[in-house]
Amino acid sequence: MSDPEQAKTGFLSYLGQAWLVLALAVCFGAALAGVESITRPRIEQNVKDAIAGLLVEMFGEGTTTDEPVVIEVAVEGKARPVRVPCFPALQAGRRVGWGIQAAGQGYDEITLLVGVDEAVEQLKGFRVVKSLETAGIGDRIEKPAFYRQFEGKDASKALEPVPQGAPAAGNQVNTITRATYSSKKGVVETINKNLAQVRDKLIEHSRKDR
Amino acid sequence: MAEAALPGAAKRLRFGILDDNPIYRQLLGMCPTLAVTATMAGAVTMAAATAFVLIMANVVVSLLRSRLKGHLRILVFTLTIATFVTIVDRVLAAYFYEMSMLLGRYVPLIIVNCIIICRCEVCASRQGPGVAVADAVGQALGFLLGLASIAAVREILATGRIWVTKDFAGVQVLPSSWPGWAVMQGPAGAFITLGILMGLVNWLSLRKRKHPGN
Repeated sequence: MSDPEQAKTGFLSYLGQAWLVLALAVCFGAALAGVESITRPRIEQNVKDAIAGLLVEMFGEGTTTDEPVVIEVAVEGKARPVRVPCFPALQAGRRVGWGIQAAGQGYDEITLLVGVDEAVEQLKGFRVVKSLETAGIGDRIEKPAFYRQFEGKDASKALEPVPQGAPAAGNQVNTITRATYSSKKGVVETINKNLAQVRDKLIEHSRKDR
Repeated sequence: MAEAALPGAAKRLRFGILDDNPIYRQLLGMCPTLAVTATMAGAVTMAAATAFVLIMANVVVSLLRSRLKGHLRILVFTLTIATFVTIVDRVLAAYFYEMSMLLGRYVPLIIVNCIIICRCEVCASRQGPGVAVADAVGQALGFLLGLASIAAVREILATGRIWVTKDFAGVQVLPSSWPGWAVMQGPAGAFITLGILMGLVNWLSLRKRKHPGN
C-alpha cells in the first residue's frame, strides 16, 4: 500500500515540475492574443480586398463590395449549418450581382468565388480564392482557358461536365484532362452544390431589398 | 556533457550552413523542401519564416535550459515552437497576404519541422543564448541555401524565369523560346531535383575528402 504522505509529496512534486509549462502557456497565450488583436483587422481587410479584386475581374472595372450576406445552409452529416458568405457586387452603389464564397473539395480544400447576376439567373464566372491543387496539373483550374467557359452559363440549372475537347453546348463545360478531379469535383460540383444551396435564399434576399 | 566541451558559436554557425546542412546533410525538413520549392519567392519566404521560428525558439529554450525537466522538455519545445509559428502565420497573412495564400498550410506545418525541435534538443537546451542564436542562424542559412538551390533549378526549368510572383513576371534566365518543363513544378520535379542535387553534394563531399587540397 502506498504511503499517503509520499503520494502527496509526489502530487505536489508533479505540480512543481509543471509550473514552467503552465507559466509558459499563460505567457504565450497572452502574446498570441496581442498578435491576434493587431493582425486581425488587417487580415480581414486583405480578404475583403482580395474578394473585391476578383469581383472586378468578373463584373468589370468600378465594381466594389460591402459586408457579405451570410447564408446558413443545412448540410447532411454536419450538426451545425454551414455559413456561406455572399459578397454583393456593387456598381455606382447599386447591387448588380453576388460573389458567393463556395467551399469545396478537390484533392485538397478549394475555395471559389462564384459570380452570379442580381437575379441569380446567369453565371458571371468563378475565380479561385484558395487552392492547394498540384502545381502544373490541378492548378490549371485557375487559368483563363478553363474559367472563361463558365461565363454566361445558366445559374438556375446545374453545370454538366464533359471531357476536354468534347463539344460543349448549353450548360456543359469541358473538364481538364489529367486534372479531371480538380476541374470536375473541385470546381463544377462545388459550383453546383453551393448554387443549389443559396440560390433561393439569395433571390429572396434580393426581393426583400427591392 | 559540460557546456564547455560543446562546439562554440562560430563552429555552430559554420556547420549549419554547409557541413551540417539541414537539407543535404541531415535530410531534415523534407516536407517544405519538396512542397514549396516550385517558386523561388515561396522558398525564400518559407526559409525566412522558419528562420524566425528557429531563432526565437532557440533563444527561449536556451534561456530556460537550467529549469527544463527531462520529461517535460519536449512539451516546452513544442509549446514554444507552436507559439512562434502562430505569430509568423498571422504576420504573413496580415502583411504578405499573397505569399500566405501561396504557402497555405505549409506555414502551420513548421511546427513539426524536425530542424527546429532538433536544434532545441541538440544545442539550445544545453548551451547559452549566444551559441543558440549562432546555431539557429547557421541552420537557417543552411535551410535557405537548400531551399533556394532546389527552387532555382525547378523554377528556371519550369518557366525559364526566376522569382515569378503574381505581380512580377520574374527575371528571364533562359531564352524566351524555352518550352518550360511543367513536370518541374509538380511533385515529380521536386523529387528529381532534390535527388540530383543531393547526389551532386555527396559527390563533391567525397571528392573533397579524397583530395583535401582541391
